[in-house]
Formats: sequence, C-alpha cells, structure tokens
Amino acid sequence: MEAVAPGKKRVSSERRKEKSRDAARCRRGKESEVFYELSRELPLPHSVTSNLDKASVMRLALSYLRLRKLLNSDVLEKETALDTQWNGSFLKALDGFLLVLSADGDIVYLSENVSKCLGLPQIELTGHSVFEFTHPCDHEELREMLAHRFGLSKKSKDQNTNRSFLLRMKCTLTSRGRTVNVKSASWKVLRCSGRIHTADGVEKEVCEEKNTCSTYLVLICESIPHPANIEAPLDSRTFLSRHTLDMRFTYCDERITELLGFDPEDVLQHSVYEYYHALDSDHMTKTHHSLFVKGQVCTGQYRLLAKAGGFVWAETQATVIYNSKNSQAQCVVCVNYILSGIEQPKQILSLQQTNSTKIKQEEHQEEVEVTMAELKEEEKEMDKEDEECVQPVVQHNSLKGETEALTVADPVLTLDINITDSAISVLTEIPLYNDVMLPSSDVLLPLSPLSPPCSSLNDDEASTGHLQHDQFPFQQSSDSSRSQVDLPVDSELCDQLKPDHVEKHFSMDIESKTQGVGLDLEMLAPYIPMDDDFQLRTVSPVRPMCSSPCSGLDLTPSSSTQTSPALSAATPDSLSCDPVQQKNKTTVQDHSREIIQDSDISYKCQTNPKLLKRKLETIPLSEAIRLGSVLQVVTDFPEKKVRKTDAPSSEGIRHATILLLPSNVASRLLSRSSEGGAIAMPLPQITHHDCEVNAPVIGRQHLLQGEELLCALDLVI
Amino acid sequence: MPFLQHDLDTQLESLAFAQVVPALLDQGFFYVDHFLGDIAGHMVLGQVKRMHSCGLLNDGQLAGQSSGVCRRNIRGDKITWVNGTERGTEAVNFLLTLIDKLISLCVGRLGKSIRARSKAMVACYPGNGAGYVKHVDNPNADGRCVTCIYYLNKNWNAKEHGGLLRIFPEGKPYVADIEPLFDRLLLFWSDRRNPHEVQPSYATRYAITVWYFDSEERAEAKRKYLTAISQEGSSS
Repeated sequence: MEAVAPGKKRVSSERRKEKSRDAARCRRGKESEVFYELSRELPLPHSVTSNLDKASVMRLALSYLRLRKLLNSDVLEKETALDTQWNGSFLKALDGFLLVLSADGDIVYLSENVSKCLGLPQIELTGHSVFEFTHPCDHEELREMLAHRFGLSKKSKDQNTNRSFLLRMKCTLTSRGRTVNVKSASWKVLRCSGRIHTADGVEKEVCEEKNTCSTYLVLICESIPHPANIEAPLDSRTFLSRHTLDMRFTYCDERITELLGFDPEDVLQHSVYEYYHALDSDHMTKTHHSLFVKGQVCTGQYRLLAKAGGFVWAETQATVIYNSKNSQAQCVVCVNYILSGIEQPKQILSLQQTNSTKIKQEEHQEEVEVTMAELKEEEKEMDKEDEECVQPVVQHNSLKGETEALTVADPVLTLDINITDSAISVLTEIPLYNDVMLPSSDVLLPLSPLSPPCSSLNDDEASTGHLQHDQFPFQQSSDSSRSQVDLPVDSELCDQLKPDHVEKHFSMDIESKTQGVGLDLEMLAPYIPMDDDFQLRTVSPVRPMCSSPCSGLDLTPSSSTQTSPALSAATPDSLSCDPVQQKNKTTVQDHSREIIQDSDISYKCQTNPKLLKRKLETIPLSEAIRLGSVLQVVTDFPEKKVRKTDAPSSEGIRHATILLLPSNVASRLLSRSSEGGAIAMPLPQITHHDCEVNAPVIGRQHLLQGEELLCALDLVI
Repeated sequence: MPFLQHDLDTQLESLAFAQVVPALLDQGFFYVDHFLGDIAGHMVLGQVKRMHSCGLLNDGQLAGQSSGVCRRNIRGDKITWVNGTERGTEAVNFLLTLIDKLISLCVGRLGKSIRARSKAMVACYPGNGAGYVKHVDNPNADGRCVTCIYYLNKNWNAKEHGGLLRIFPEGKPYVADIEPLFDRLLLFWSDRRNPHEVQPSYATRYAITVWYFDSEERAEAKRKYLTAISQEGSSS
C-alpha cells in the first residue's frame, strides 16, 4: 500500500500539470482569436490592424465605439460618390486637422492629416489622453474648455458650446521638414475652434444622470503660419505690420492706406490700441497676454478703426520674433487680415477720427441692422468675392515671390522684397507718393532728406539699436583684447623671472669664485687618471707559512743587504728611541759588527796586491765601526755571548753574504774615485772585474725583491 | 733574519702610531726625515734622474678637464706616472711598498677606509722659477684622502734654491714651510683642510707624490666619471 501511493500521486500531479498547460494554451488561442476578430471590425486598413498589439486594439475599439455613439445621435446616411469627394477635399483645404475629445480629454478621433501638421501618426494618438501631447501650462485652460454646464437654456447653451482657444501641442516636425523623436519634440501653437456636442433624443434622461459621459468637444485645429515661413504671397486685403513689445508700430505696410485710409507714417510710434474698437479692448488685451505666453496668437474677429470714421472687421495672426543669439523677444510681427469694408463710415468712434471727418470714403450702407452672425456670413461672402477679383494680381505676385524666395535665404529680406513688390504695384496707382514712400519702406537704408520726421525718428531708433548691437561685439573684442594683453604681460613676467634666475645663478657663480670654491679650485687641482687604481697589498696568512721555509734560506742574503739602509736610517734616531728599541738596535749593531769582522777575514785570505790596496782604503770605515762596536760590547757583554751560541749553524751562509756586500761597496768607492780622476793606472783591470761581479748582483737584486715580499708576509702574520 | 724584518716593521708601527696618526689628527700634516736611509734613497734618486735625462717627464696637468690641461703659469713641473713594475723603477717600488705599509698601519686609527692608491707621480721642477700656485689636491671629492710626498734633493738650501712647500692649514693663523730635503717623507690631508703651494724653484727639484683613496669617496667619483663619459658618448 505504501509503495503504490506515491506512484499514484506522481501520475496525478503530472496529469494535472498537463491539463493546466492545455487549458492555458486554449485560453490564449481563444483570446488571440477574439482580438483578431475585434481588430477586423475597426474602420482601418488591414495593413494597419494586422500590426496592432492587444492594448492598441482595445484602445482603438473603445474610441470607435464612442465615435459611433456621437455620430449615432444624428441620422446616418450612406455616403454617395459626391460625399466621398467632398470629404477628401475638406481635409485638403483644411490647413490643420479634425480633433474629437471626450469630457475627460481622451482623443476619440483624429483626422489622418494630423501627421502633416504635427508629425504624429493618427493611430498613436487615438484613444490616448490629449494631456499627454499638450503643453503643461495649457492643461488648465484645456480643462475649462472641456467643461460643460448642463441644464442651461437653449440660447445660453448655444453660446456656451462655442470654443475658441490656443493650444500648444507636441510637434516632431522640424523647420527643415525632418521628423524627430517624441521626446525631443517642440511645441506648436494651434488655433482650436469648435463646439461641444451632446447626445439628444431617447438617451436624454441617461445623459442627465451621467453628465460627463455624454459630451464631446469637436475642434478644428489650425496651425498659425510663422511669418518666416509664409509661402503664398499676401493678397490685397492683408497688410503686414511690426510692433515693439508694447505694441507700438515700428513698421506698417502701404496697403493700410487703401484699406483704412491711414498713411504708414501716420501710425508709426502709435500704439495699436489707439485703433482698436473700445468694445474689443478687453478681448485684445487678453490676446496680447496670450501672445507673450505662447509665442503665437490668432485674434478672433475684432473691429479696427478707420481714419475718417467707422471701422472694419479684422483678424490678426501675431508672432513674437526672438533674437537668434540670446533668445530674447525683439519685436512682434502681425499679419492683419481685413475681413470687411468700412462699416458705419460716418460714425465717429475716437478723437482721432474727428480730424479727418472731411476725408470720407463713401461706402454702400446697409439699410437693415443685422445680427453679428449674419454680419459674419456676409463678411465671408465678401471675402470670397474679393479673392476672386484679386486672383490675377496674386498669380503675378506669386511668380515674383517664388523666384525671389529661392534666391534670398534670409526670411526678413524675403518679406522686405515681397513688400517692396506689392508696394510698387500699389504705388503705381498713386505716383504722387512714390518718392516719399520708397525710402521709408526699407528701414535699413540710410536717412533720406525726403523722408518725414516720423520716419527719421524711426531710422534714428533703428540706427541706435544697430549701434548698440555693434557696441556689444566691440565690447567683446575689447574684452578679448584685454585678455590678450594680459597674457603677454604674464609671459613678460615669466621672461623677467628667467633673467632673474640667470642673474641669481651668475651671482652664485661670483660668490663661489670670491669664496674660492667649486670650479676655481677644481681647475687648480693636480690631475690624476681615473682609471688606474692600485689596491693596497693584502696578505693571506697561509701562503707565507708554506713558502717561507722553502725559500727562506735562499733569500737570506738579500735580507742582510736590507739591514744596511735600516741601520743607516735608524742610527741618527738611536738616542731618541725608547729603551726597548735601544736594546733592539744594539743587537742589530752587534750583528752588523760580526759581519764586518768576517769580511776582514775574507780580505786577508786573498793575496792580490790590488785588493790589498783596496783594503787600505776601506780600513778607516772598518776601524770606525770597530770602535763603535767595542764600546757597545763593553755595555752589553752578556747579550753578545747568547747571540754567538744561538747562531753557530748559519755562519756559512753569512760568509757568502759578506762576500757580496763588500763588492757593492767597493764598486761604489771605485766609481767615486773614477769621478775624481785620482787613479788612472788601475782603471782597465778594475773595469773587467766589476763587469764579472755586476751580472750576478743584478739578478740577485730581483731576488731581493721577492724575498722582501715573503718577509713582509711573515711580518704581517 | 726574520727577527730583523720584525724589528724593521716594529719601527714603522712605532712611527705610525706614535707620530703620524697624532700629527694628522691634530694639525693635518706630518713629515719624517731619513725614511729610507741613504743607500735606498740614493738608488731612488738615481732612477729618477735617469728618467729625467731620458726625457720621460712631461708637463704637469690640471684636473679642470677630463683630459687634463697644461698651464705652466699655474703648474710648472714635469711629471710621469709609474706603478713600480716598469724597468728601472725597482727602487721606487721599494719606496711605495714601505709607504703602503705605513698607511695600512695608520688606517685603523685615522677613521678612514683606505684600500687603494694612485700611481706614483714622479715630478721635477726644473728651476728658473718654476712652481705651483696655491691649490687644493682634492677640492671636489674625487676620492683623494692622504697626499704622500717623498723628496730627493741633496744639499738643498731653501734660501738659495727656493722650492719650499708652503701649507696654509684651514682655520689656522700660521703657515707651514717644508723644505724638500733628501730622504724626507711628507704626509697631509688632500682635501680643503690643506691648501698648499710650491714656491718658485731655482734649482732642479725632485719629488715623488702618491695619493691614497678613501674607498667610498673614490667609488662615487668613478661612478660620476663614467656617467659623464657615457653622456659625452651619447651626445656625440
């Protein structure tokens, strides 16, 4: 029983695992199949849906359901061929894209041309929150736009559903047309205008309960063109103006004369607020504020006062121009679109208009006062008519503009050139102002005597700015020159230090010379070679023990010869020596006396008469020695006896030594006598004898050296 | 005979311990007369005169450059270098042997490590006012420690012949005039403690000079010398 139980458990666990794996695999398969079917239901091309992941499928499906809910509130109709063409044309004509947002800010729908405007793909944005792609500073405003108060009356509801605001969204398109990553995207100002849609009909009660689920914000998002990127030439109903940061005119297009009646010089240095309708002042102030917050702004429709009276409806796109070097705001460039003719020309709306009441342009007056909406519609129709009339002029200008745009890279110059062309075309109608206006149109030109005081002020201001701009690089250059000057100063200091160091070194040399130290003494020192050094003679104790017994007897005569210089060296100092040394020297003298006595005996044995004469010559020396030895014998008699008894065996060797020593002495004596020239007779015979004796003496002198070394070895021990 | 040799060395030992060492330590120089004895001294003198007559002596050199520089107005002697093994220098060899023994006996008590010496410089001031200006033998640590000079001039009269060796002991108010008499051995420190000069000689003046080296200082000097040679070699 125990053996069987584990086996069963193992089998059961394995089976369970297998079943679990199969079940999981089955679930995954079903899930994939469901997602596949769901993606096919999306209104997107198959090539797009086949690459979606599950999260994307869910995101897009939810958005699609919401869109159907929104569209389902209206009557659905089948698209005809004409509808299809119109739909495509709408997107092309729209310089922007369509955007549908839920109350929470989720992107329910985007038109596909968003990629051309912002560089972001439609699929990536749909279903995501719009707050992920907008500037953080615009989120609060965006939430206000999304909010909707339910329960208002129809009239107020209609008014409140309209939305118009500026929104900064991420843009991955660069000015060169390339696409960058979302993380390094820049911000693009979009003009958003639209309205809030709510569900109607049967679901009204449900909407009341769930307020936030039933409202959608439908927007048309248009980008505001940057003045530098304006491609199409401006039409005759549009004029350019440039303003300081407080919105005073610094430049104005000549078209303003035809449109409003002002001369361009009239408005210079005047604030644009002087020409706003009083009722639009608050709106324009807000727009002005928004301009500096976001960089670009598009005003709604506002009223711009004419010179002689009345006003025109206008809309302006304003852009802040920043300095490319220090990124500071320099000026504001405005593209002003005039949307209507002069309204109420006889109405005086400001003090300025009272001065020019005489100069009035007659315009067709409308008999019936209409609502603002109707006015807008009429204005739009009039714009269309005007555009049709201006088409030939536009075509002409477009050709010139394109050609010049290609040749000139600087956008500012491009604008100036376009302006000049349009000014020329306008001024042909009024030749009277040609000479006066041309110089003022180009601000960079030098002052002209024909220009009026206003333009001269403008030029002075511009020239002042130019000078200030020039002063900055001048200051920079002066700073750099200062730094350059400082560097040479430092290098000069370094150069000065080196001479000081040299001087110190030189003074050190002088000091060394005065002290007699160093090179001077070295130059005077006696030279010795560096390569030849002789080691002091060191002795090994073993060698003398071995060699001394063997060669001692042979070298004994040389040692006796050495005693002679020792005796002669020691004799003068004998009186100053210690008693012990005196005894030693006394023994030495006794020994030498014995040698002398032996030599006398040897001389007596010979019978040669010449040798006898030599004996006579040497007798005085021997006699003197004998006398000295006799005196010493008297004082040291006992020591003498002991020496005689100790050295009887070596008498034979001593005899040989004695024979050699006298011959040396004799040869020296003979040489002295020969120098004196006393004896001339015995020279030949003596010379022969000396020759016979000298040969062995020289050989034995070498031997003496050898014995000397051995004796030295013995003594060192 | 060994007894006699022992007696001779005893004399050297007594000379070293009792006279040379105390004098060097006290005043920096010392001289002893009758160092070799008349017979050996005359033999040395004979060999030196033979070298002179054979023309083996050349102008003395200065140590300012590695190859030596001749300046007769500074140094007017004529010299040759011998090591005692050449033919005709047996007596000089005997002299060097005795001086070696003397220095070896002194080394232990001088506080120096002396194990080597230079060759013997046989020098002759030929007269006519030849001399050597005041100088130091070893101003810049070339290893020379003790200078030994053996004079060979018989019947020399300093008043008549000049040639005095004048020592200017450092920090002392006196000078030491040493006559170059026959069979005299002079020893003094080679460094800056003993600036000295040879006054103009008006007779032929013979001397044999040998320098004993401090082993450490000499090794250092040789190392610098070889470094300088290698640098010159590399530069060329």
